Amino acid sequence: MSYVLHSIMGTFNGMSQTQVAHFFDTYVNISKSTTGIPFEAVVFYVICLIINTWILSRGLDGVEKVAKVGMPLLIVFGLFLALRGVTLGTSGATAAHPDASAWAGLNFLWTPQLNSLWNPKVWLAAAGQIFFTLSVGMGTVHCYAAYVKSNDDIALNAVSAGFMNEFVEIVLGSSIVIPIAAGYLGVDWLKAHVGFGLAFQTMPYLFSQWGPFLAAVAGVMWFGLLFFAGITSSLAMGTPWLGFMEDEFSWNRKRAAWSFGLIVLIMGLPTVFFYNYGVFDQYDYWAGTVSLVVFALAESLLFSWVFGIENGWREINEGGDIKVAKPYKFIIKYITPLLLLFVFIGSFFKPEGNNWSLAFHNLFTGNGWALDDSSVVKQWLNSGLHKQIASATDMNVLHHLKLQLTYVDAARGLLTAVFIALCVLVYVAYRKRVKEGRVSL
Amino acid sequence: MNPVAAILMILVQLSVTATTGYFFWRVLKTPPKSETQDDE
Repeated sequence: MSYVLHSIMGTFNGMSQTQVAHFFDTYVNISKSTTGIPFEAVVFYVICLIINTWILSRGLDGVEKVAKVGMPLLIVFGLFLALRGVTLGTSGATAAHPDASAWAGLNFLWTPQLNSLWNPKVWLAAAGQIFFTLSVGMGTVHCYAAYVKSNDDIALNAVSAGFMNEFVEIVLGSSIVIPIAAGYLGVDWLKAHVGFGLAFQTMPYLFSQWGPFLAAVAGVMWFGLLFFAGITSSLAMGTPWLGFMEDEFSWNRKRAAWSFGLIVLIMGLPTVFFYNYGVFDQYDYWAGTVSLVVFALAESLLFSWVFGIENGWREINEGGDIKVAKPYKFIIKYITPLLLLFVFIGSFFKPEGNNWSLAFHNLFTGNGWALDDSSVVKQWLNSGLHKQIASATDMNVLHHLKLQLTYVDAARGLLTAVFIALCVLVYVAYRKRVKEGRVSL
Repeated sequence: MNPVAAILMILVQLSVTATTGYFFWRVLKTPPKSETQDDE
């Protein structure tokens, strides 16, 4: 939302690639302001949250209407940018970045590294990504599924939605930010800055090459549609809370929506205030990656083994506009849970250097199991951060790292508190159902 | 681009685009169901 405003204001006009990249760092530093508005990132966060909550309190019909126009627009604009990404070549190279090449970016993205298939961290990240984008493991799909009539189609719509998601991520996504970033800033810069802020650090520079008017239009369209894509996702994430509070505690929609807004405000503010201390990354790793895999594993076991694959198969195919191929029955029952289990255990106990044969050899010869710093266990123990603290010589860096350790632990405490609170709420709802005779268990 | 990366990119992008297009076309061509089918 802020970048839409900056695009209109022409903030990025005349900036070098490096200045545009640095602008993002300034923006997320709440002690600085890029517009003159104090605590700018916080202000935009609160405005965004109010819009979210207001839409939730009004119902989702309006969102559906806007999505019907906004989503195709995003794809059309994405196609245009993807074309630019794959045809940029070496034309974006400058004296500051003479090696910049979009081809190098595409090579970086598409050259197969088959060894990485043995790295559980890659599978964990891939599973987290796909579950997040398909809203699996967070209750959203279940909530929407509750509104589906018994003989409505599930199979064709699910396949179509999944592939549309893949088209946007793999075909469009891979042709836009990475090649454009490498095309203007070089692949070395890209490797050093890869992460959440990449699109914000690269796209404004591309737009600014098209002249002030087109840069403003493109910036408004791109960041506006990204904002809209984000808001439809966050609304989807709010829907399970609304459904739960309305169904189980008879809250009205407004009360449920504004309570959701309040919780998100309290939980989300630390990610804005302490973004540079890794709080956002902690939320993303534990809630957006590890937990999604854990809950998806639980869901696949519940679906296949508790609800029963025969019941599930009937539900999938009833009213379906296509018949799902029978091998998927086996895949859903055995392969999916086993794969998720391997991914989770593998990433939990990933050995040092991802060398499993050496790790097992050491284990059986009494030399223990050395964990890698990227394993879930070592992440939990903050091993990487402790090593940085031990090796830091600059007092300012040391102070920053120690503060980071505190904020990281506090962020995990907050996430754990929310999880426990939700468990308590579910238990209270269950007791209420038993008391009202709605559950016989 | 190196040949391996180029071949992989073209194969993946073509297959994903074709499959997406096929299933999207199936969705568009499937007539909507009547509204009175709920059993609850």
